[in-house]
Amino acid sequence: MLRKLMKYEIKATARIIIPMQLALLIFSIINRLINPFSSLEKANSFNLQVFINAMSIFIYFALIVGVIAITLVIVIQRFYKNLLGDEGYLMFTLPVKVNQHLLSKLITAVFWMIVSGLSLIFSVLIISCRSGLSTELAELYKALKNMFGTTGLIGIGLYILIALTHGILVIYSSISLGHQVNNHKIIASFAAFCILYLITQIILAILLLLLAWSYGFLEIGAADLQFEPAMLYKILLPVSIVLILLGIGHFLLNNYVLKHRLNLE
Amino acid sequence: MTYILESENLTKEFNGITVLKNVNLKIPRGRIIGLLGPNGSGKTTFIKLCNALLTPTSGKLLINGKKPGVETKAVISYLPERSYLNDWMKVSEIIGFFRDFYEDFNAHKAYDMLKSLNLNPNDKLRNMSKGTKEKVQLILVMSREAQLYLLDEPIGGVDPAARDYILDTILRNYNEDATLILSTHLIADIEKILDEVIFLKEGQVVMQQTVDQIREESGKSIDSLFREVFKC
Repeated sequence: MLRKLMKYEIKATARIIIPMQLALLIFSIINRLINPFSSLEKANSFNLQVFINAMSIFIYFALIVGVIAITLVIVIQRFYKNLLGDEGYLMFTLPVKVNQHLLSKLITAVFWMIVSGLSLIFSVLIISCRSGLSTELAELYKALKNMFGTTGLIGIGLYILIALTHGILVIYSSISLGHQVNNHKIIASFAAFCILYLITQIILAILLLLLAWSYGFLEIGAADLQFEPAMLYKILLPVSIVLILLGIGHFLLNNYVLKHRLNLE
Repeated sequence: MTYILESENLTKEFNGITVLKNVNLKIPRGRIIGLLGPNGSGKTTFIKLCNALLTPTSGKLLINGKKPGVETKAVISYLPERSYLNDWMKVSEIIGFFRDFYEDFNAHKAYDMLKSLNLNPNDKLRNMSKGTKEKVQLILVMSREAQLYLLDEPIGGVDPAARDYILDTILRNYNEDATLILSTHLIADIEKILDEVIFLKEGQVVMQQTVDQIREESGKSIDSLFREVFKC
């Protein structure tokens, strides 16, 4: 059943996200061809060419913001509309477990976040392969690799993934909790999000303080400590574990609310 | 044999307002039952509780001997009073969706019904009128071979000519062992197909009787009895 749910979830989201990604790809290629970044640098007076270049850069960045925003909007909208709106009348009468609904939504959302991230990187690569940025990017990558090591980079990637998944689950919890209120469900969802965000930040702040204290960062003379990749793991690993635990908590909360406290209007 | 639907002191409150109050019902298999009552009498609430779209405040509800859940959802075919289909799919894609999720869904039946109502399976729901969408939903719901059909206002939004076809469709497409519960206030239109009626008034069951009983005892049609019971 999970596979079937995901099939429809991807179908429902791809029809909006894919065209957006394609638009970004096309504009990356256009930007590469007319190369507005370097011609703007060379330009010393305002003319039509400068205007076109500026416009194409503007549209490009608008698309980047658009891709990120659309992905986020779809994550929210698929949960709110498809499960708690009118379409929920169909979804919640399917012979499917609530956790399967949640998982299908969550996996698809994470999948699109990864795709969006990769397409942004890809788009930067397309543009940079002409203006000489690519060698600089390669150097940046090398420097990062030297600093963290390959496993370190994978670790950072995993951390980003965990943080993203946790973030999506916080959004789901906010919507589920907001929906428990009888009126002004959307405002209630925003309020729930703010509260959950605050609680998460407090937990993480306490954790970081504890870590800093236990590693001796708070002691006098700590400013002289040299950065080492090992320190990064010492911080990222516990933070990741806490985020995973919080994420599981949010998943269970959503599962409980949608199973035992569901009241569709 | 167990009842297809049983409720015991089923109560539902919203914001402190009691919408359903101590509803006790035992509904046998193989019946067509009219769930009748004026607006706000709790018909939709009752049906949504059966579909686990609402959580009861108190009381017990069993479908096929089980609490509402995945197993009961597999045997209930539910037509809500609103449009629950997304607007970007084609009718044929939605039929695929139903076939994927409901083992008892008969796609062949659905295509047959679409044809007799002159509906194109390649049309998108977005381009359909409200009445047409209702017809598509009814076709989907009646193409299942379920044990319990819960139809909430199935004829409310369609014209009288289509009403006859829909009632006919309902009668032709449900099997003898299944129970069909129809909620409506257009009683005259459905009176002739009912075996039994349940009258709901302000969230309480005021009567559950077979149509024959009513005719024998009071000599009245359901429609006139309804007007009498719910006189304003």
